[in-house]
Amino acid sequence: MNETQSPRSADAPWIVIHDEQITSEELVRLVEERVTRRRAALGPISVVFPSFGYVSTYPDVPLEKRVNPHLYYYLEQANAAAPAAVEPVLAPSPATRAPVVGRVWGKVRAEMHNLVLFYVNKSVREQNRINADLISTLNEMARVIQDQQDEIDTLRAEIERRER
Amino acid sequence: MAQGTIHQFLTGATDGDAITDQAFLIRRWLREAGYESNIYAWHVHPSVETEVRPMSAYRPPHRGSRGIYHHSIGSDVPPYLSDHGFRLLLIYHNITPPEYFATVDPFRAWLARLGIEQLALLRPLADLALADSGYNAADLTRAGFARTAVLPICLQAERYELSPDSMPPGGTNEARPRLLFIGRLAPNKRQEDLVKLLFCLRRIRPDAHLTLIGDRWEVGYDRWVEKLAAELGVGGGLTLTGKVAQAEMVAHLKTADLYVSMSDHEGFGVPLAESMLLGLPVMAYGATAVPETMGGAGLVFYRKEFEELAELADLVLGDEPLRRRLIARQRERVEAFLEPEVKRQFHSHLRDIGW
Repeated sequence: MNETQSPRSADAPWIVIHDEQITSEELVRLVEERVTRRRAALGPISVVFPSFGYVSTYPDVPLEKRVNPHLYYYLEQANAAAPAAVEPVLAPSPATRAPVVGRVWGKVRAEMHNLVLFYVNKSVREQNRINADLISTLNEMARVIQDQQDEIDTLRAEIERRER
Repeated sequence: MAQGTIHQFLTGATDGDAITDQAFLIRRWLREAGYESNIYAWHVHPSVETEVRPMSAYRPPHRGSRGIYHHSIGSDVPPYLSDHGFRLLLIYHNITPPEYFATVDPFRAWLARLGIEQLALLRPLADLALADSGYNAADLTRAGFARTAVLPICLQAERYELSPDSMPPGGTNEARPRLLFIGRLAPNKRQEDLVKLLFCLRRIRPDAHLTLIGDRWEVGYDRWVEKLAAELGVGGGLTLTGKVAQAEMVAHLKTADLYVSMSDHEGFGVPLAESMLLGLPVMAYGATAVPETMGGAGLVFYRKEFEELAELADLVLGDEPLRRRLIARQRERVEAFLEPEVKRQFHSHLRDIGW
């Protein structure tokens, strides 16, 4: 909700220790030296770590550069569609405004609503997750296709230049 | 001499929950000071139903009644308190930003948004708004609360006393070194980053083990974390215990070698303080309230460079003098979260508002 940490300067050590024997700067240096030695001994780590909930955003490419206008049009539509909401909407009705009975009815209605939400929410959130994953994947694929197209265009230009 | 009545109100109460524990402690302090004091909650888990009364059992005596409300998520409690004209001592425990749940749990995301909106409803009721940390207090200031102060979460040292023979069987295992993190399995807690650290640490220490204690939430994050560990080939070094009883949690804290937090969002971070209390060195990502809670103790890092952090963990695990110095500083820091000090602050706040 907030970002109230005092801003850290860019050159501040990224590991902080308050110790009488070693400073933060020395600790960072020591750790980095160990990483260098470890890589020399064991080789670099080549694994790509995925992140939960990672979302690839819409690849907004200038109109004239788009590999296929339809691809971008429908992809933009999919990105613009908000996840299905499951927020309880319990607008007052003439029945809930009735004295005494209205309050009881309002409570019963809210409880029933919450019960339905409990089950609907499970299903909706699963579908929301699938939708988000699919859209994210499509965004990433569009980005890859665009990059490849750009590379093809560059190579074509180079071939044409050489053939001239 | 009777001091009058101050009841406490919670959205939910359950065993082992930091907010519920704090409410129990405050109830004791109030009763010791001569107040009549009970705890009422909208949702009461069976584990605490002898201690906590349901909201439906509460009968407000008159408008202007005093009460303490613990706010951490949207619920029906703030409108209830507003409708009945309460004068409140608000205790704000922070609301996890809804963005963390937007795609995985839209209802929880909505409850978080509602909780943030309800601060506006609570503002005119509050004689004083207390926050667990300065980080949380900044939320209250932004929401327009005129009078705010910090009251840290209080640790009751006697709850962490455990003789070796009372260690629960199966609560610990022999793998060494043992890394520990405590917190519900949720995207903002970033347990997945601990698995990535474990992967790197196991290149250095092949028997390293990571224990994750915490409620396995229903969003599927726990399964995702387990799957990641399996894909990285470190599934055998990972234990997800689920929620455990206090005695078992203390056993884990007392037998682990290093507490590591990668959490992106903490309003306070009770397990950080618990680790400091029990002499477990802490390495924590310096997000949100974490640097404030650590208060210069332990190791705080600001980048998630897993290879480097694995070397840092290896260093702390293998350098006994460094480890001892870290523990000594942590023990000094945790004094600020122990009962005598926090109880004194609480009563001082009550006096300040004339309660």
